[in-house]
This record gives sequence, C-alpha cells and structure tokens, in this order.
Amino acid sequence: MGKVTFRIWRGDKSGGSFNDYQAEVSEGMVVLDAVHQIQATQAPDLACRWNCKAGKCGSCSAEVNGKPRLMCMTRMDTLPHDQPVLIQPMKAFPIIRDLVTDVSWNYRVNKKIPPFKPRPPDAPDGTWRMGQEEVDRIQEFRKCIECFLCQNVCHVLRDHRRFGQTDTDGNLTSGKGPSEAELFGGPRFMIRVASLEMHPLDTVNRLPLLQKELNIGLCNITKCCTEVCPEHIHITDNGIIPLKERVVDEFYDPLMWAARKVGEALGIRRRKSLPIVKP
Amino acid sequence: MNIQTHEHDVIVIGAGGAGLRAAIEASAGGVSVGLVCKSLLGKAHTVMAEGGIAAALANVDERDNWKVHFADTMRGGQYVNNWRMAQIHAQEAPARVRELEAWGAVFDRTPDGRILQRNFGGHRYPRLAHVGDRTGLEMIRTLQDHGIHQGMAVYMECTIISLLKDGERVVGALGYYRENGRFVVFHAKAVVLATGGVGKAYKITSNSWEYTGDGHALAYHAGAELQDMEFVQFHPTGMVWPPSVRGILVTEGVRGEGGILVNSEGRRFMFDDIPENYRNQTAKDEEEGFRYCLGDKNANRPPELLTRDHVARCIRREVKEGRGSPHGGVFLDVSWMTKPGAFNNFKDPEFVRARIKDPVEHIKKKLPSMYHQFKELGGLDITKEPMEVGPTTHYIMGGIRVDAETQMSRVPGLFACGECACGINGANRLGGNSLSDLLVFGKRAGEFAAKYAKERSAGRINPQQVEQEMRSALAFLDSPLGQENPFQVQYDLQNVMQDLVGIVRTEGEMVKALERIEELKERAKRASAPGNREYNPGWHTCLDLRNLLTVSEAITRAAIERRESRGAQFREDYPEKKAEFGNRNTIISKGPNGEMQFRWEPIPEMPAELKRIIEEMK
Amino acid sequence: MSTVATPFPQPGFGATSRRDAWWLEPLVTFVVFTGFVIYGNLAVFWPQIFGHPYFEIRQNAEGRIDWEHGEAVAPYLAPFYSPLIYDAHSHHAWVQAEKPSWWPGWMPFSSAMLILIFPLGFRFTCYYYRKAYYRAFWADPPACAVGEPRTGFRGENHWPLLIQNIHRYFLYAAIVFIFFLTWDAISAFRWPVVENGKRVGWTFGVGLGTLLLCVNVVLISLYTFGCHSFRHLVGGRLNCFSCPVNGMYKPTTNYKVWTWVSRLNEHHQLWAWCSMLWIGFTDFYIRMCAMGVWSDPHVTF
Repeated sequence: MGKVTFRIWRGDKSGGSFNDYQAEVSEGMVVLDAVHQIQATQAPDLACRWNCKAGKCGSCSAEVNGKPRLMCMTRMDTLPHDQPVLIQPMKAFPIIRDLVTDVSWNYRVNKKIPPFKPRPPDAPDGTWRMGQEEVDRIQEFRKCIECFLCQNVCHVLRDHRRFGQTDTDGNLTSGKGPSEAELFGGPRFMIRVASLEMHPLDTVNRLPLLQKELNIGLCNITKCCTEVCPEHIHITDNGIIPLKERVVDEFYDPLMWAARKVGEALGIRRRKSLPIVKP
Repeated sequence: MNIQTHEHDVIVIGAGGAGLRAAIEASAGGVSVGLVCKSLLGKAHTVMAEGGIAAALANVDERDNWKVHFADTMRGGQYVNNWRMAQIHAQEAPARVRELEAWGAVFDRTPDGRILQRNFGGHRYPRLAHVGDRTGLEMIRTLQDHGIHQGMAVYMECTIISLLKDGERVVGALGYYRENGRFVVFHAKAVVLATGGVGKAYKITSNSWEYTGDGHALAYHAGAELQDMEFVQFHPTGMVWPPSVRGILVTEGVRGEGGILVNSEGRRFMFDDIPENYRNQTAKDEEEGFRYCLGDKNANRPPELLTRDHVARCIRREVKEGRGSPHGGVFLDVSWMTKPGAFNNFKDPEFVRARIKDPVEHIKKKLPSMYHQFKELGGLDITKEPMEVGPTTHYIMGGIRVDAETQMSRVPGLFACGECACGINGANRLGGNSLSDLLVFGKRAGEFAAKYAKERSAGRINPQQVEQEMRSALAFLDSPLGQENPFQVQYDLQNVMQDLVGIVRTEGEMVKALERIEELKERAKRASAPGNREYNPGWHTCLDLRNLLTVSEAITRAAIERRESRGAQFREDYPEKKAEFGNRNTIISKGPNGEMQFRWEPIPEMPAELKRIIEEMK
Repeated sequence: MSTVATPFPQPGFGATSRRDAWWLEPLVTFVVFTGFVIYGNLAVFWPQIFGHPYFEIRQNAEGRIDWEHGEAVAPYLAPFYSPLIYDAHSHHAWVQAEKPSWWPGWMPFSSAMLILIFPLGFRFTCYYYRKAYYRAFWADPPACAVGEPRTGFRGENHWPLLIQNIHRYFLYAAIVFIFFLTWDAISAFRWPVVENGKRVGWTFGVGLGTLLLCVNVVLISLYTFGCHSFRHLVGGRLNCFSCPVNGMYKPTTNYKVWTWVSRLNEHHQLWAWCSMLWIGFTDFYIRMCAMGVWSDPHVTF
C-alpha cells in the first residue's frame, strides 16, 4: 500500500511541534502499528502508551485526524493516504510527553464513588441469586475499558474544564466563580455509577453524590461520549439519561416526593431491589 | 540518598489479578501496602483473559467438585505439577469466585439465578464462571474498584528494575517512574512479585508489551530459583491475518461454543489424533461433540477441546504438511452452524434447534468480543466465514519456585504469585485455571506476606546497591548515539526464540539459540537510547531487554535438559514421554559467579489420598 | 515546523483538527428545526395572517371554499389545532364559542395557542431534541471535538435549563394528546353528508387526509412511547427485572414492557424526525385543502 506520512505531535507541557515521519503501510495495519514502526526505526523516544493492541485495555487513546480514537483499533485503510495522518494526544488532559497525557484525575474521581455494598446473601452458602435480565443491563456498563476517550471528548471537560478544584497540581482546575468551579464526573463515572445504582444487589444510594458532587446536571446529553466509545456502550441513552431520570425522582418530581412521603407515613420501606423468594 | 523513598510493610509489584488480590489481602491483614504497576491501574494483561475462571462451583453440573478439578489439573499438567498447589487451588477457587461476586463482579447467570459456568478444554464439567468473553476485564475492574478503598497506595507507571537485599533478606525494590524517569525506592519488609509472563520474548504472542519476564528476572537475580521454565504454552488459536494482528488471541470459548478446526481440504483433523488418556472423554462423532457444547451432560467433549498443547501441535502438523490455510494457519469455523441445513445430518437435529433459535444471534451473544475483534481488525464476519488461526505464545507454566502454602520463594521476604510463580500448572495449563490461580495464590501471597511483615522489623537498604543499579540503568542514556537499537535487539531475540525454541524443539537448534542469546546479551549491553528520561520508550526497552534475555536463556537451558516430550514441551529429537522425567522439575538459579546453573529437583511423593483421587478420575 | 505551546488549534468556535464535514449535521438540524418553528408560528397565527384559521375544509352550497358561511365537507382537523377547544361553528370544537371569555381583547387569538405548548414542551424537553438543538443552535458543542463560541457553561444544573427535568410531565400530556390524535384519525373516516350547504348526516369514507392522519398517530405514538422518561417509568427505575418462579428466574412484566420501550427508544431520533415532519406536512396539507389550493382525493360510501 506504500508509504504514508504521519504528522505526530512531539513535545511536553512546555511546548513542542508536529514532526512528519514516513511509514510503510501494509494490509490490515492500524495506526498504532505505524507509531511502533516509527518508534523502532526513526524516533526511539517517541512516547506513546499502549498495552494489549487488541482494543481491550484502553491505553492507546489519542486523536487521529482530529477524532478521538484508540490507535490500535483505527485501521489505516479507513484513513486517506494522500495527506498526512495527524496524530495528537488527548486534548482534555495535561500533556506529559508526545502522545502521553496525565489521566490521573480520573482515578481520583473514581475514588469518590462509594464501593459496591451488597444486601445480605440470599442463600445459606453465602451466595446471591440474580436473573440474567438485570445482569444484561449492567454488563453493558461493565464493558468499559477506561480508555477515557469519553472524558476527553466531553465538552464539559474538554472545553469547559470542569475538573473541579480537587487537585493539588494546579493543572486540572477551572476557577471562574462558584458555579464555574463545579466538578463534573464525566461520562466514564456516570457509567460506573450506573453500573452500581442499577445493580440488583447493591444497597447504597449514590444519587446525592451524582447530583451534588459529580454534577450530572452539567451533562447536556450531546452524546459525543457515545459516539467515541470503542466498546459501543450506549453511554447517554442507557447510562446517563436513566440516571438523570432517577435524580428527577429523588430531587425534582413533586409526585414522586409525595409518594415517598405517603409511603413513609404508611411505614412502607423503600427498597432498592426486590426481595428474593428462596427456592 | 537523594531519592524518593516510600516505606511500606508489604510492596506488591504488578497490578494484574494476582497483584491486586495480594494487595487487597495484605491490606486486610492490617499492614501498610504499596502496589506498583508498570502501566496505569487496570490495564494489566489480565484484561485480555477471555474464557473464564475455573472453579468447581457445581452450579451447572452437580457432579463437579474439587477432586474432579484437581484431577483435571494434574492430568492436564502431565503430573509434574506441584500437587499441593493443585489441591489448594481446586479447593479454594470456589470461595475466591464467590468473593468476587460479593465485591461487585457481575457474572453470567444460570436459569435459577446462580453463576453460570461454561465448558473449556481439559475440564470434565462446565466449570468456568464467566462474563461473555471478557471475564478478565470484569475481574480486574472488580478487584481494582474494591482495592482502591482498602487503604493501599498505588504507584502507577512505575517500573521496578531491581530488588534490594539486606543479607539474605529482601528489603525493598528500586524502580523508576516512566513519566519522568526519576528513581524511587520502596522500602518494605516483604515483597510480592506478581508480574505475569514472558510472552514478549517471542515474535508471535498474545501477550502485551509488559510481558517481559520482569518478576522472573528480578527474583532470579535476587537469588530465587526458577522452576520448569521450559514449559511455555502456545495457545492453539491466535489470529494469523492480517500481519499486524498476528498472535492476538482467539478465545478457546469459540471452540467451547461449537467452533470446529478444519484444514484446507475441509477435513476436521482433530478427530484423527486423540491421545489415549483422553479417549474415553472425547466425543465419538461431530453430533456428540456439538451436543456437549450445548450442555448435554451425557455427551463427551469434541476433540477441539483437548488440551492446548495437543491442539497446538495438531495445527502445526497440518500447516507443516501443506494442509494449512492461505496465511499459514488452519480454519476455525463457527459459521458452519449458520448454513442452511447445518444440522440435517444429525440423528436428533431437534435437540440443537431447540437450543439455537437463530445461529447468527447465538454466535454474537456468546462471543461478542470475538465478533468485533474480527470485524474491526480482520474485516471478517465470523458468522459468515471461517477464521484463520494458528498457535501463539500465550503463557509460561514455569516461574519462581515458591512454597505451596505461603507462596514465599527461597529468598526470605520474597513472595510470588500468578503467572510469574510456578507450580500448579505442571507441563500444561488448562484454560481458566489461570484466573483462579491469580485469585487463590494472590490471596495466599498477600496473606502470608502481611504475616511475615508483621513478625519482623524493617531491614536496611544498602545505598551502594541502589547507586550501582541506578548507574547501570542510566548507562543506556549516556552511551553515545549510533550504537545498538534496543528495538532491533528485541526483535532479533524474538526471532531467535520463535524459530529455535518454539513449539517444536531440538537440541541442535536450542544450543544454537544459546549462542545467539549470548551475542544478543553483548549487543543489549551496547544498546542506547537517545533522548532524555521522560517517558522514553527506547530507554524502557533497553531496561526490559535485560529481563527478556535472562528468561530466554532460562527457558532454553531448561528445555535442553528435559530430553523428552511432555505437555507444552515437544522435542522432535525425543518425541516420547519418559517416566524418568515424570517425577522431577527443572530448576534454574544464579550461580556464585553470576552464571546460570541448572539442577533437577525431585517431586515429593504424593499422599495416598490424592493418588486415589487421580486413579478414580482416570 | 516551529514550536507551538499546544498541539491543538486555538480555542474558539469551530476550532478542530477534524477533516470531515462535521458541520453538515448541525447545519441540517438548524435549517429543518428553524423551518419547523417558522411553520409552527405560521400555524398559530394563521387567522391573523390569512384571515381565517382554516383548520378544516368548509364549503358553501355552491361547493366553494367559504369559511364564514360554509359547512365542513371533510372530517379532518388540522393537527396543530387538535384538540379544538374553542370554535363558533366547527363540530370538532368542545365549546361552541369563538374564544374564551377571559381572553384579553387586545391579544390575538387562535385555538392553537391554548394547546400547542404541550406538544412543543414535550419536544423541547425531549432528550433527543436537547442534544440536537444544543448542538445546532447553542453550538455547545457544535460537533464532537469541535470548539465552541462561548467559554461559560452552566449545563442543566441551574435555572432556567433546570426546567428540563419536568420532561415527564410533558410526557403525561403527550400521552393524552395521542388520544386526541387517535380520535381525530378515527373521526376522519366519518364523513359529513352535506346537502345544500347543510350537514344532513354522516357516512363512512376515506381520503388522503385520513391516511395522513392515521400515519400521524402511528408516528407520534412511536415517538412518544420511545421516550426516555417513559422508559424510566415503565421499568427503568427498577433494579430487578426478574423474579423467581419455582426457583427459576423469569422476566417480570415491567421488564417486558421496558424491553419494548427500549427497542423504540433506540430509534428515538428517527421517530422524532419522522413524526415532526409528518405532523407538519399533515397540518399543511389540511390547511391547503381548507384554503382551496389543493383538493383532497377521497371516496365516501
């Protein structure tokens, strides 16, 4: 298929430039192969994160021709060869070097989410029972490989920098008045909360966290997260919107509020999940 | 010393399944734990595991129990396993799987709401708890999200280059942050190695870049022994086309769901060669094999689900004898069941039709990742066309020799678990036993490392050792430009191992390999990386190379000494299994002058009770 | 190449490294939605603009279009005026009066003003439409990985967009409207028998308008019952989708309904567009017939 020019950003947080490299493209090749070829033959210090090269670990996130992608899942035959292939690091996160960005903020947000806490076991041997039906729904969210492409493309983080003021390194803070400083958890962690909130065994209520700390209200459901997800998770339709509806139940809907009050008055306990009838 | 130092009771190196499990257990033991990983947290090679976690839960077939699992593991390992580890593993795996569910893992379910289990090669009953074909991801995410709330400190993108010793004892580790190249010392009472395998020593591998044998090499240099290094598992089905994805795994689940292996003549060649000790567990015809895949408890497994070593060799034979596919593999076909009239030749086609309403949807639901992997990387629809597959380096059964109960090596304070440790798998690992191994022995390593740490005071770190290790690491950066390209050296090493110490081995080739490795060692010393210490892959490769060369040499030396064919080791010059090798393990260790030493270690006598179990299950 | 501080284009509207026609989708959305809003306003102010509301086809004894003295010759009611609460003559009207007595005299009146807020509100707060107009009208963002014109952002976390949270109440209204539209579609088979400009009875008939109104109900239903809020209310709010029967787990009714709604929901965008364009065209068609521009082919029995 011949030689193709790759225009790759080289630099660190103090600045850098785009460098052009030539690489030989063969059948079935992906962008990451080209980066490796360049690394092995022309630029041994070209920094790039990768692990599995099979779309399963979510390490090689970057922007190829302006689109957030996994480099290992972007086949060269889907890109035009007559102009340079542009490879940039993820825009939303601080650059470490070349194509490697500092994604540690995501790990800090993750830690804010209270872990799974199951109800008491259903059976005497300490196990639980669930149907495949409810499992199917949360398994979709658990397909997430934490590539953080959704975080990168989400304009609330990418353009409006709502990383909150929780960091100490000064890189990922937005600071324009009180409402501007609101942290946004980002699509990845909406999905993570969804996988916990919709878990039939879980007993923790994370809706206040979602509403007040992760600020689900900042999401204006423009669906870019869904568009870039390499695992094809319906982040918005199946994750964020159902959570928004649950937040409405909890905080905005007067009928739901009244129903809860009546329920409490009648002594009906709220249940997150149905009890299990022992077989 | 003017370098960052972190103090912990236990330091765990590697954050895959075993490392995370060890760190969780050590934290539960009430000690301070540091978890060091070479990549970001949650990216470890465990995410690539597809099939499932083998545990005798008996949810699907009530005849299953730990004894059957133990016997299956021993048979698969050709009886050179550490029988005590195989026993512990079979007994404790169910509890470890249930524990994952309590931490939030979401396994596929049986109709009565319990954890679903699937068939896999070498397992007599459906035994693998699974989540579609992405079980490893589920496991690592569960452990990760549970682990971060247990109080451990996580050091991401930090590579360990040396273990630090105080006399005989291990007292810490020296590493560097990939991000900025700065060195860091971890001062700890106990060190747990959970660094995984060595696949990057081979050209065609399903393993990720991290698999450079770090733990094996660190332990070796610290004085631990490496056992059974000759047993490298070649997974029979890796992708072979297009070239850039060569080696990427095609899960055994494809065969477990009814995928068949066919040569270029259209013959299902696996029926032609069924080993004697598996004959009465293997299907008589195609229909019986497929009924087994659909859950018929009275049917025996199809020959495609024989152990990995055997299937890999059969594929290699077909290719070598000119009956391979266009790109040097064979065909793996699930699309046969979507063809009209596919079940017409069956005696009881209704049995199949009742279970598979829509074959295309059935395949997509059972093998979603495989469907996408071939669609996106191979441009092929597996519901319509057969895949091309061939053997790929997948796993190393050999590793750091450890105590079965505590997972401690012969070096005090140095523990190992997971792929980098040795024992449970013998000469060949059964699919699904790896994930359960990580959990069972990860837990044990963490537990006993914490116990060990609590009973001791901190040792002293020798600044000279740190100084010397740092200097040797930095030498690659300082050496003048234009010397050896580390990527080229690694590439050459991969070719040597692939060609000379691959699936089929001979003494002559391996002796040649040793010579080549010696040359490569010299070249690796001269390897040089331009640029600075910040996230410099060239430099990282220079450092990884040292480990790769150490394990390559160990594999080759052990493989030369085992002059027989057993499990994953196939010697063309000694094609038979020999009883005299059936009761001993190969041991590699570092001699007093830094040379690699070899010896045999006899396997202790198995207790009568376990012997009886093996006899009963034959 | 010279050294630059970041590898990205200067922030600002449209700044991107994308090379595809990212602007096409928001542009089409912008044009079509704007067109629809303009037409909606035309429909509401039809009496002021064209002299009469023309929501049904009225003819006099000579068979000519005559709003003031004619009689309805077809059973159609333009959907933007449904339900017709006030009208002095129409048999569709609930109240036989020109307008409510409390209506301020200085304010122009049209029957649509009383009801259009509900379907419009439903669409305005719809999760799909929000995506579409935030992108096409607010450019927040105009497309994925494309720069925005403004730096400030309040999301839906603050007034006034906090109001989006009442979507489900508009859904309740929208479900009621399906009944009205269904009634209109059924009524469109019941043709008036008109002699000498006076209705003397009813008969069964089918016209092009009947078909338009029937398809309209189907499309509006597909859109309404695929609503995200509906999906939540019928089952999405629950965590348990199955319950044990004799030890085996069986899907609940909630789950089955949720599955159907989910299937519709996957194509919510498609149904939003189809139903929007269809109802607009149906309304326009009936008005054109009512004004005598087009004539409605029909058969009566």
